[in-house]
Amino acid sequence: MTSSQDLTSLTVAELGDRIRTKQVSPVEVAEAFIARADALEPTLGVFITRSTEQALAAATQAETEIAAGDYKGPMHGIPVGVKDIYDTAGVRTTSGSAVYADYVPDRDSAAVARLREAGAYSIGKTGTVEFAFDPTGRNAHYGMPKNPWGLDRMPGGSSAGSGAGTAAGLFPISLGTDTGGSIRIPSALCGLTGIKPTFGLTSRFGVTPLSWSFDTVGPMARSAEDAAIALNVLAGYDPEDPGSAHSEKVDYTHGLGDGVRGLRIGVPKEYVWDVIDPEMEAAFRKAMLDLEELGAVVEEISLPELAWVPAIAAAMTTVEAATIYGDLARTRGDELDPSVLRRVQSGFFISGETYVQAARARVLFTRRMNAAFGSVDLIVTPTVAMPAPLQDAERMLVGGVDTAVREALLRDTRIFNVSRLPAVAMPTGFSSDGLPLSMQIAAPAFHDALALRAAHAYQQATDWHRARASLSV
Amino acid sequence: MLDISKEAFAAWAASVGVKGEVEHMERLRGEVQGMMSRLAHLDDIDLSEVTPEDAGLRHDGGAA
Repeated sequence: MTSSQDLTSLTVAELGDRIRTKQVSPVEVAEAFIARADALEPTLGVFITRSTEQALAAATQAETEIAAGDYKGPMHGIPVGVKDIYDTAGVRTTSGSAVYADYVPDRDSAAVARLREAGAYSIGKTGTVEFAFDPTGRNAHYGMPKNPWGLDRMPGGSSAGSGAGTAAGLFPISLGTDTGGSIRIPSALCGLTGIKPTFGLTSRFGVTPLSWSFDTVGPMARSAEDAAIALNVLAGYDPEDPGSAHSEKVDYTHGLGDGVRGLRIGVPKEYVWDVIDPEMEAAFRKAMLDLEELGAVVEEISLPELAWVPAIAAAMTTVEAATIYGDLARTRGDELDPSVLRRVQSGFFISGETYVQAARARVLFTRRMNAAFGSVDLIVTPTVAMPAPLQDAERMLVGGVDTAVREALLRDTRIFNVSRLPAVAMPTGFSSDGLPLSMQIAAPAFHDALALRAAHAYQQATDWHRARASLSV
Repeated sequence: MLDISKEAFAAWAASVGVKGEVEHMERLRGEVQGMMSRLAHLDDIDLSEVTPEDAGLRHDGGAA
């Protein structure tokens, strides 16, 4: 018999195994996570909208299906936290905005529909920055979820509720989106494993847009194995997403255990180290030694073009966001989060010439990154420059450098948005304050499985991803 | 960081249709100054090997 609290500490793989072998029923799983959310939501503020009744109904349906011999796979009967920019039929989708507080879609986003087909279900819509346009997790309308590892710390964003809720055990896995790091930043700050897949691998249909050049859909999980299980469901061509790619069908769990022996891992010697917390860097260096012990070959690579990333990302994201939300900013600006309004308005000041210059630089940067993969199999960096800042921090000293928190959070994740490459964030230890530290492993385009394989190898040799925040229920 | 005077920013903002309370505009001025400083780095990149067409910004040949 597994206790309710034990269930909420398990991974998707572990829960799926217990459900498949009928050691536990989907309804028991749902009830355990709902009870934990009942107890912790008042403290953490993870959800914008909870879907308790729908979750119990879906769990009951899963139980009936499995009892009838219709087992659909490891996501069957698994509750998922869904970032509140994914359309969910019959459940409001606010996009973190007061403007859309009462918007109820009549159709699921592609990702939610795929999860339903796999037997999973939404347990609630999780907190997000308005229109997913900030890496801190702040939201003037619905509040900032608290980081389970430090209640005075930001969870990171924009997929803030998905990060905080997965880390707190309110659900075992969640959906995030990543335009400049919005899956990987909260994963890093909350001690999770999150993958930003290759651009075009997962469908964005039914997801509130921010930047058509960079928006990417992906899971936030407690292990690389769980991320692979979810990616098996989420990946695939969708004609309803103009950015969707005709990619080869891959089983992301196949070969997870093949290890890293003989793989060449490149660590950039420029840019990343200009702004870095010493404890974050020390944990990263230790992780490289761990990977070497597992048989990988770690080497420095030179990528001076990394210095282009902030300019390219800022120009393209800001102009595209202004294109999407410009009318709203002009007509209903007083209803938007003031910081998001300023960010949208900033796009009005960027010229067309600058946008085209950035788009050309993006292509050149991607060529340089692809060329780097001629000499290494993977590129690895810290995910973020520092552990979770205080909730109200605007600027802070990071490794002795006075820096804006927002820029420090984005500077390393954006590398793989601009190049559109897959990157997996995962925990590498804890700071002296008990806050999670993180690295990201990136692979060539559509080699998401390779990045997950390396992450899984690291997690088989370490147990940072198994740590759970201590919260009183 | 690039310095844009209050007067110059007010004129620029008006030309792109942005207006607001003094505090909002002052914070926006700071953000735009920071952003323009970052974007200035684009001028340092030699883009001669990438055409706009390469960047997906294709000429449609005048077709509708």
